[in-house]
Amino acid sequence: MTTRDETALLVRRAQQGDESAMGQLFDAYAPQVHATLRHIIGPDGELDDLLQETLIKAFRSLKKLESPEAFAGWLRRIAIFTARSYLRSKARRRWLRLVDAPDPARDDAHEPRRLLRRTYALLDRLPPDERLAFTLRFIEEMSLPEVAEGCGVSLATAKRRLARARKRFDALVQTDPVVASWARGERRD
Amino acid sequence: MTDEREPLFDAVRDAWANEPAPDFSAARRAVLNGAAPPTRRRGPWAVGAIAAAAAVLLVVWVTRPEPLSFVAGAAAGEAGPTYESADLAFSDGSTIDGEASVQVQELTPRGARVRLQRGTLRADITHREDTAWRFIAGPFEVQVIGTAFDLRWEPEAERFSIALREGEVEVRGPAIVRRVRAGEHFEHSLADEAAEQAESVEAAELVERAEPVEAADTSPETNEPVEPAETATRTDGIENGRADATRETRTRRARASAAREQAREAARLARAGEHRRAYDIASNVGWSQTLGLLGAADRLALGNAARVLRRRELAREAYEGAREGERGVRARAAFALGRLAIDLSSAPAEGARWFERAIQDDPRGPLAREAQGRLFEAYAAAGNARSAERAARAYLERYPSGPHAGRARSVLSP
Repeated sequence: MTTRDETALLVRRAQQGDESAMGQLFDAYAPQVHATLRHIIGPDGELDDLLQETLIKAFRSLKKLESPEAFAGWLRRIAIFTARSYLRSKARRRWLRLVDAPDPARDDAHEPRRLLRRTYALLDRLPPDERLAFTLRFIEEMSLPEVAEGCGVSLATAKRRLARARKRFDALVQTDPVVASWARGERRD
Repeated sequence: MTDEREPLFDAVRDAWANEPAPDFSAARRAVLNGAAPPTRRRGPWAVGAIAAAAAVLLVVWVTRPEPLSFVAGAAAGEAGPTYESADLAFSDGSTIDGEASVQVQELTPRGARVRLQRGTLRADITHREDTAWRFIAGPFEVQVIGTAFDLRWEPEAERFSIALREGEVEVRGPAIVRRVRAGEHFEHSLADEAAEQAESVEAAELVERAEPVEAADTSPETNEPVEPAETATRTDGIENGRADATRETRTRRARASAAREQAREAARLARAGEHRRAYDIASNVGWSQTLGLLGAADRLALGNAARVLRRRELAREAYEGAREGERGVRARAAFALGRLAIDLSSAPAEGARWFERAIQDDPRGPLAREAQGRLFEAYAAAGNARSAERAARAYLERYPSGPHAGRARSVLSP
């Protein structure tokens, strides 16, 4: 993991076209971008494309980044916006029935993976903007101001979205006994 | 942050942290080569064009060779992890089961490379024209075209055995290349090999030294004194047979001896930091075969050579082999696997798992402090903030003035 100063140095070199610096930035930050994306999107076959899309967008816009020290946060925001676009598109396609809803009842011998699939099947039923705020807050563990910034809304709007998302999610959890038992703390690995 | 759903969110974050590390190599190539972003969202105008293209692509797609996939029990399997009780079903119809520790090391469109770490597996490999399956057991390699067999490897006794139910395989070991056919059983013990070789040397020397009179003395057919010329005639067939067997045994012995010598030399060079030479020698003998001839500490040294040369999979194989050693070596191998995951695979979650094991294996060992430092950094890189904080806190408790202390404090109060 690179420090903030090291990152800033790498960004400056990459802005001048240094491919080695771009490679080092990729190696240092691709895992974090991937983690953020999967926390928001869930187990989804498009994750690799979204990672690629995020980083290509970022590297193409790198010259416009005025403060290299802010690279990590800037990159995370690009990842969040990419994920948000994808969630909105996915919701539209589901409305048009162009994508299959995940089958939460499909059995999976690997308990943590089953939990992920079932939890994200519930999250898929939240409106995209609420789901984004909810996953950033509770899975990605961002602070409220960070959630607001990530969603591109005011703090008050972010709080309202979170409150609505929690209410909906609580109701959805009760429809899945496996997720409900995890939520009550009755199951651990 | 507190929430009544916190146990669920904890479990989800843990589940993500324990997911297998993704392979970023394709994305890295695409990003650094300036590829266009992948497109997914398309307007209705594009539907016709896409449909036409899809029809063409479909033909290509259905004929495109895909690597095999497999399920382990009821879950999707993947190359890399060790399956303790093999119950694997592959997409080409092949199956592997049995009381065995099995690692699928590589999947290709035509087969797989499977390492039997210990135990007995039962394999039914579907025959196709271009099938290419390989099974590794210690220093032995079984090349399969399409067959059914039972394979056993006992690492402690260094004993290998295979029983063919159908088809034919070729077994390659440090000193043998043997075809085994349906109904045949082949067993080989590296431990017994030395004794066997010693006996065969004695036999060879007897045959070489044999004067006709001595041959008469050793003939089982008669105790009568025999004329030398007559003895030579009568023992020709026996001696020719013995000589053939002896030549074969000596060739095997020479190969085995050379392979052991080269393996030791490779390990010596690796320990001396001559990584390229060590790697070349081990590759010449056969990487898996070399590892099978060495102890855990030497495997670790060879793993280091492969890691320095960025031969990721070979390094991983060597380090995993070193995990069979005593506690100190086991911990060092776990630490090395963690570094490998971070440095060469950009897989921080996997790295974190190995650093955890390194600490568990030898909590007071020479690498424990470094492993604890790398552990919280790996968790942080994997996006697992909660585990990163836990590990950073543990680091500061144990090593408050350690080299990672500053970083640990910044993780706890970013």
